Amino acid sequence: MLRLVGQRLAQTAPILFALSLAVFAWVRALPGGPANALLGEHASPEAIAEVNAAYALDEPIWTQYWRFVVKLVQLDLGSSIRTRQPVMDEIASRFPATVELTVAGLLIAVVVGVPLGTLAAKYHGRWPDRLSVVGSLLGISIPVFFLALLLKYVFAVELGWLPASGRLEPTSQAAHPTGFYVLDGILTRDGAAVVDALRHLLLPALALASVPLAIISRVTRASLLQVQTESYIRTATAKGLGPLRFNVHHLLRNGLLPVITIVGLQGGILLSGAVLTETVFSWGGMGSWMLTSIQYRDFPAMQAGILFLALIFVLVNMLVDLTYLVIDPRLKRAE
Amino acid sequence: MRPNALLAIALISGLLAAGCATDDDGSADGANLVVGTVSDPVALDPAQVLDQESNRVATQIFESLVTMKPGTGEVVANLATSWTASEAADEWTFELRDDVEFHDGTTFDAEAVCFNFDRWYHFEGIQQSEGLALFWNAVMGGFADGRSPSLYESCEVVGDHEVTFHLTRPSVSFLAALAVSGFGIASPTALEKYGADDVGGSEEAPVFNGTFATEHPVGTGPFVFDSWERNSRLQLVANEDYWGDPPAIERLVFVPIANAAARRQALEAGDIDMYDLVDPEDVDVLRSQGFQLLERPGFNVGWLAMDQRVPPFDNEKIRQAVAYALNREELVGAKYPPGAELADQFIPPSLSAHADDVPQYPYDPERAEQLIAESGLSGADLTITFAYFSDASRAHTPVPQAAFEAFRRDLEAVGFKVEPNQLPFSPDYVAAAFSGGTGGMYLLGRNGDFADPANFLNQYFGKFNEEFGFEDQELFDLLARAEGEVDLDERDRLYQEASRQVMEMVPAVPIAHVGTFLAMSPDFEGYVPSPVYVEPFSLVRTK
Repeated sequence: MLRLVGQRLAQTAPILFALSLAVFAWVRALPGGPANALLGEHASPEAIAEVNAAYALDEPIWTQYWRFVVKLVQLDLGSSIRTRQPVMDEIASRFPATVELTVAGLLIAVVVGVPLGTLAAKYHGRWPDRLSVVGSLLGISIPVFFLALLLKYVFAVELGWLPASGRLEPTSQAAHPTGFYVLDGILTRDGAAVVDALRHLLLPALALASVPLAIISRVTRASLLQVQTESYIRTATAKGLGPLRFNVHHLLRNGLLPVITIVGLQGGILLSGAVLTETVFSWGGMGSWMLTSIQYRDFPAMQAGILFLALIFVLVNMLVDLTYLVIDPRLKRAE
Repeated sequence: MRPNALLAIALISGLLAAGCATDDDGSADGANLVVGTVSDPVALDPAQVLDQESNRVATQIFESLVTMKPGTGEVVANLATSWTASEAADEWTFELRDDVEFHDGTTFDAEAVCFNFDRWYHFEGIQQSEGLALFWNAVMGGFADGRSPSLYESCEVVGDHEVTFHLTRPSVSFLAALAVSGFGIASPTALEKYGADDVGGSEEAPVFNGTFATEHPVGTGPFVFDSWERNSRLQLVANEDYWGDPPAIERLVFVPIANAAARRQALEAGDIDMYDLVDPEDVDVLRSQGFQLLERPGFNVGWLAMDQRVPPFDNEKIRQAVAYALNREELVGAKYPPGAELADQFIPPSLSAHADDVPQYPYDPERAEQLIAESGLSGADLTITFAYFSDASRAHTPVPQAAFEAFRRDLEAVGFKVEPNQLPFSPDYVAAAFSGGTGGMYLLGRNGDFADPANFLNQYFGKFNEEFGFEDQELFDLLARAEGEVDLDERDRLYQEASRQVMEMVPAVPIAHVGTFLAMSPDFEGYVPSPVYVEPFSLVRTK
């Protein structure tokens, strides 16, 4: 297992290197530089030259890239041109927000999606099945940002039940040791903060859950339908196993492999920035940060942000692969 | 399944109930004011920021020697009680309040004032950049290293509560300029203790190591910094020991909501109590829902510029013909957002130097044709290049594409042949405008930094400028004289004369002064929008 992790990490290095090169070139190929975005329209040519010199943007691109790589190896991502904060700090303050939202979204997707798919498989061809197929089609086809706006309009603006923006009440004075607000509330034993954080989390997480939920329920259904035809299921049924043991050990354990792949992939996608949902709900996460960084041509932030998200995606995928091994020991022997 | 479902229902109803409870609390005590902003501030050192959101917060924490009377451009006392200028207007003496303490308990006095000015004067490296020391650059022009001439020479401590500023040349706009947020006085103790000037890292990636601008901004203002969670909320609390009337708001919170529609919905949902930069199309909707819409007069001017190095714009009759040919009234009335006002000169009407009798150019195509005939030009001479952008919008130029289309039609109607030159706003368009590379005609404008006519006329027409490409020593001299005139009535008169001359020559046709709107919950009152963004929250109270 450890060797496998090592192998996987080693494979990651060239991917990240190639990506760093691509990102670096792309960022610089964009029209407009950070000096213009930073100084506004009435900046003098001298001021622009000064900013370019200060951020070494006037040097040959290969020199710039070399500096970037050297810094990267030392885990120094530089500082954001727009906010003047170290990019590392920027990521540290935003990534937890995105993780919290992603986990909440996936949790909803799995907790609702898997039972829904199981139900559909169980009542194959009857009304619960048809309902779930139609429902999941709807979930996949409604654009996430539209659902986000709809949820916000109905539950926040019209009914006023839930907040429309942010992660906590603006006047909240809750402490944040970890940056995961729900967890922080639990750790500091601040019940009000937990409720506050959950209330803010609910609508964006629901919006974000729609697509993965639909996919998960479909895949669960399809996979279970296929597994049901396997010979070992017939054997298990013939043995007269109780429903719980039968469902969990035989049906789900075998049927869930593709579902885990989907959860992993979706998790990776969501983590790399739910830009629209974050924007609609003013959720201070990675997605909205990357968007602003691109608008401002904030080179250090863009480079570091994209590389970081790529790394996360790769790591999540590795985690999914390792999960297979736990669920299906046959794969371990194959290695 | 069943217990889970029950739990879920209990949890959800608990969440919803909590929502109702918080909402009730919020509006009942009224002590908190939550403001939705366009973005998170960059930093809270007023001398080192450029963006409006940083300045908005910084002006609540820091105060300058003088300020503007709310909602106007009139200079009034603040940390200084009175001031006098030497006859030549190159020495300015200020009497300071003797009852003021910084938020950290240290004393505000003449030493503290000079400490701040000397700090700004001695900025080095990237701290001098226009992206950081914007106001110092705009007002003083240079730093201690002497690379470019500085208006500021020195600050002299005359007594415990008296300072004299020595300037390198006469300046009267100096006084009004001191009112801007960039000249907010900070606690010298805090500046040193929290490393306000500790710029580390390397030259290619400067890092601001100090925590003054992010965790310990210490001034004398009505609000004290409390906490800042980046991208979530920035909280200030009322300064209980404030020297003036203490604020009615106990806790002032700024939350960044980048999207304009999201800001509106946050207000509608009760998450926030007010927000700035209301989308023009939301103005009437919000008003009909019972929200207060506050209009900030436009302290800017948008124009159609004509580069005089490019024929036929070297011909004054042609420039005047262009001015008569444009139906600006119709464009501003039909396409500009509510709050926009037709401009007949470059100085906004909120300044007393605004002249009532500048040459007018009402829409008059026949007069335009007549002027073209008088110019003696025809045929290919009348082919002009018109640069514009459509990928951005500016406060002073909110609808560039519509303006281009309307003006092109107007110009072709009187005999010009227009060659469009569409450029991406940043950086091509901007770069072209500042290097005389637009091809002749283009749309641009300016947002005012401080309430002084020098900010509008001297900046543009006080010396040769690549944007307009003309030399007119008489006008340059007149503007230099106006800038240094100590008698304020005489000064206004000189600026009005300059405004007339500029409009006679029409280096550009002014189009509009464009105002903006803030939306506020009906529960509050006392917020006074200011053309120069001097907007103290200390005046806000619950109804």
